[in-house]
Amino acid sequence: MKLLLSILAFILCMAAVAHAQGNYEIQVYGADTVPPHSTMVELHSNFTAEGQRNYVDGAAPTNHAEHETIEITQGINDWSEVGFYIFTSEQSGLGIDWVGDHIRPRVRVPEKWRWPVGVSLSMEMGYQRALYSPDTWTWEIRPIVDKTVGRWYFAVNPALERTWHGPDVNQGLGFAPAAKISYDFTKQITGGLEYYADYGSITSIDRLHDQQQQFFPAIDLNVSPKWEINFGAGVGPTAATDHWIVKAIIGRHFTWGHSTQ
Amino acid sequence: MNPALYDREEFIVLHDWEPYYSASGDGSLMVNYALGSVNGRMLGHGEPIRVREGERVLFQILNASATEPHWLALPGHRFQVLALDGAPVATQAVVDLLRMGPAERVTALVQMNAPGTYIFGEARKDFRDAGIGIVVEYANRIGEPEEPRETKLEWDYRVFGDAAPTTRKPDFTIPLVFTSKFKGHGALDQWMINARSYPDYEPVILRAGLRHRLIFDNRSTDDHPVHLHRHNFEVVSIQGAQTSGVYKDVVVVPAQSKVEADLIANNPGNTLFHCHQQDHMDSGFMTLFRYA
Repeated sequence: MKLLLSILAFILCMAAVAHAQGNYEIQVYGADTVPPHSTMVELHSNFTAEGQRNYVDGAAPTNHAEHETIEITQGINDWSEVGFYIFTSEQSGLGIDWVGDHIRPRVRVPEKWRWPVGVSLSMEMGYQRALYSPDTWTWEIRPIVDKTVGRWYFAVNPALERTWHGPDVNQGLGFAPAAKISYDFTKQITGGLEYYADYGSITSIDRLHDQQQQFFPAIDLNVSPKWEINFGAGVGPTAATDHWIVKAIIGRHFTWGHSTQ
Repeated sequence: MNPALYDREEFIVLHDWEPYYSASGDGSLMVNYALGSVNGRMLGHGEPIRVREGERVLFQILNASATEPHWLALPGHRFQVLALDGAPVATQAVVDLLRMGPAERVTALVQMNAPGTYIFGEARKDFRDAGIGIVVEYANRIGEPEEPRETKLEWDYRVFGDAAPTTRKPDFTIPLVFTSKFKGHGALDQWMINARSYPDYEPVILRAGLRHRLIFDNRSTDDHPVHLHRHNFEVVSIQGAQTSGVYKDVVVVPAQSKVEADLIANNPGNTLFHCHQQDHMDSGFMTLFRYA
């Protein structure tokens, strides 16, 4: 536990030198992919308790916005998958709106290669309406490295983003890392800290004031191999970040065809 | 016509290679394998088993995998099981699939009466792709071998037993409760028999010449191929369903179930009892039987 607290303190200090993925899918990716002959259906529910109260670059405020995202991921083989997102938003004055869709193919280093860490690479691209995201067409490449040691789990996602259409189109590659550390308190309950950031252009890091920084103490409930459950409450300490967000992910595995186990 | 029971005998040894750890459904690490073999060769390598129409081939099959159960099928043919773990069975039932836990042996007669070429191997495609299979080739037949079809994986030791349950009462009853302790999603479970994890164990005491009813009470979420050295035992019930006439020295006790077996203590000396899944044995799933 001392190690966990030390690492948490270190990450919090790093905030002083360190912008976040949109509040539609708040998740640090592990290296595992969805197995073949199976589909993962997830519902991401994110409520911004204290966020942006004004329109910025034509985008609606996020304060008290409820974002619901459906993510459907199909396993292709033991080293690849394709995910599809449907983003929605609900907030006072705007009602319930479709925000956009993304598609996310991903490949991983197969476990049978016996690498000492899990490694995968995802690419996410798609559209979001300008009312909700000034950058409408975007592309992201996300390397993923993770490791489980006993009760400890570590994951880093040093993602790079590129805007194809929107105010940031001239920014070039943006750097938007995420990381997670967690500890298995019991077989069913895992607690940890998730970190999300957006530093702006990789060639010209934003001032801290303009960076997005979010820290989410989070709980994973491992109640069944068929279910994925994650809860968290996040704080954004910089001016460019929504200050309080509550998130939940509920996922269900569906297996098709012949079981191999 | 050959008056013997069979015309020829073939020995089949299954093995898995290049192990690696991966996450299991129940949350702890498990062992998987990149490759598999039959008689030391991956499917597609080595010589086929060449047979003639009308032959009766006796297969002596051993699952020598350290941890993996295997399901075997030979398309177009069925297995008449004569013995399990070397002990003749009470009923020589004919089955389409053989389920073999680690260290289990099956002696099965196959009538070669469907000329063609076939893959005798794992019923599950991913295991065949890893190498678990061997080609069976009839004389003067060539072409792509037929693969086992997907089928429901079912196995019941009781089909090889007598319909009548054993009527003999045990002199002693010995409960053996199998449980595990979670050590993290990135670790193997620690295994226990009666709450003790080897080498911390309380020996099970046997009385020479007497009948001991072993109650394998598997409270874990894994199947366990439990093995007793130097003896065999008679399976007398599986999840409350009684049987008799099936003698084994390895029996797969399914997750969350009970299997009962009668042991006649007829070979004095210290005797190991353990799960034959190597990673379970290495993590405490072992104890010693001693004669009083």
